[in-house]
Amino acid sequence: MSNDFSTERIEQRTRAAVYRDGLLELFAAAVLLIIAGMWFISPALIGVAAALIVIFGWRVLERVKIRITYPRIGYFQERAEDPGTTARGMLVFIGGAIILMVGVIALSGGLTDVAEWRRAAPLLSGISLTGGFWYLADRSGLIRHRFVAVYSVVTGILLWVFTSGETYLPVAWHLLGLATPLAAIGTWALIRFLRTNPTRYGVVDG
Amino acid sequence: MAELPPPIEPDRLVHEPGRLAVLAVLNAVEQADFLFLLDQTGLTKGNLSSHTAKLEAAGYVDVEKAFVGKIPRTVYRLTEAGQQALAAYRDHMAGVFDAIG
Repeated sequence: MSNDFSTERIEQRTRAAVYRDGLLELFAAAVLLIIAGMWFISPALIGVAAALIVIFGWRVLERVKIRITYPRIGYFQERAEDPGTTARGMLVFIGGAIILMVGVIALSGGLTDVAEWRRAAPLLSGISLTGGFWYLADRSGLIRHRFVAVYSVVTGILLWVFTSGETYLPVAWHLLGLATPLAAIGTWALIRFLRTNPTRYGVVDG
Repeated sequence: MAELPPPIEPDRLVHEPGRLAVLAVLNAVEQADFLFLLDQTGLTKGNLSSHTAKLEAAGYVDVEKAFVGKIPRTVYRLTEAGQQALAAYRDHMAGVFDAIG
């Protein structure tokens, strides 16, 4: 154990270790790919796809962790946030993003123009997902989560600026554009995790 | 000359670096098993066993035998008393460092 001792540093390192396997990024990439894919195939079924992901996705992720993560670095369960506080935080953030979007559309003088709303949709998607990843970065302290948060809002702004507003399809492009670096980062983190953390054979227990 | 107040002793159980590391790791997660604590603290198996036993005896850590998939696991969780002890220790040490300057 190092002599350079700080309980805060140990806690931060532990919180980062929870995300060391890259599975969360891969899971997020898969979710975004499914939703974007549904957008192209059948937009009416996006809600159903999202509900199925919420119900079964976390279970699948936990099963993967049981096979890959826990045999290597041990079992852990993340500290749960108060659901009320999380929900309030999300509502305030998304509400803020919507107000910002309305403000941007109003400034361009197109509040009654449907095309302006369509154009601004990727901006809302970008800001909303930025909130999620920024929160995650605060928890994990990992720079890659901060990068995804910034990348999300930047791509949202670019799509808002450079699209015409004919359809809502740029939102799907935004999700695909975000899924790609997430998949790359998750794969890189997973490969690194598997290389540096061999499976501990035999029962290591107290 | 005004008399100084008697020095307050830090919680000796928490003051030991190995146990403090265990408490800090458990403070960052909801619960964790022996292997995770081993991985995060860098302690040896024997040391970790001894420290967790002392923390459990003091009521700072809850120990539960559980199954993760089909594998039996001893799962550790910080109790409310453990959280309070860690917070009090941090306050105490912050006070000490403030006094030193």
